[in-house]
Amino acid sequence: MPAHSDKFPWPSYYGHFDFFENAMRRHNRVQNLEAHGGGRYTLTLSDGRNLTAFICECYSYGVAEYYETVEKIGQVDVVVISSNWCHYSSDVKLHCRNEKVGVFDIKGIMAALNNKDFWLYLDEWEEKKFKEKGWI
Amino acid sequence: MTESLTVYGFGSYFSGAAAPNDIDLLIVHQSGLKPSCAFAVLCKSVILNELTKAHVTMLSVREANEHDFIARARAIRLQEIHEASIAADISGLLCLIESYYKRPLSDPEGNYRDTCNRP
Repeated sequence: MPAHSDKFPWPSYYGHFDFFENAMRRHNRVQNLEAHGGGRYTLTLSDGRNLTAFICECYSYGVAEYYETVEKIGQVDVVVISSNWCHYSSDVKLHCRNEKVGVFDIKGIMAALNNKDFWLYLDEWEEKKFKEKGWI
Repeated sequence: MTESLTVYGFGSYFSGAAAPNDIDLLIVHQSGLKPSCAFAVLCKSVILNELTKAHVTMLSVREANEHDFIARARAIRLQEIHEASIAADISGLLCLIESYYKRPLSDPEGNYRDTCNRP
């Protein structure tokens, strides 16, 4: 089964992101979720901040994919990789972190949104890896 | 610095499936620096203009190695694309991709590929 559609920005094969939407709607820090289509959302946090989120199901999200995302849809605050069989690179995580953009899987964004500086959040495995690389 | 990258094929299309849904390609570019990424994005765009059923993943060499993507996906090295010869290189890539579709149907030995400029 393909993990993508043929068109940028890779909306879900099923044409929706129910799992992501449900997860965001039950998050304590998310006051509102507005879908703009094509995997783009505005998350309104309980502290009043509006975050532009982009969700995709690409096999592997790297730095070039991030540049392409920004080129196609403009600046984002959060990139969420929604499928269990997809992942993102450490390099894109670091690159985006330095631009105050968070890159997460669903579990990661659930945890990250509990922090004011959400883009800095690393899970245990990422923290270990970043330390090994001397990035933190 | 002159940019270059390597395109790999993986998935059902390249493993000889009778009716593959799509064409999975992996672009492996030199680095995460902006010029290298921009060249990958450009090549992806040109490829997608020609192959609407393609799905193109872009990773730098380091990113591809991190998750051992090439080995895990059993990706096949198809074509190098250089900035200076992008049109000819992509033309060669398309020829090769076409040959993989024809191979299991009419040319099980893969001789058709000899008509392409294989790297």
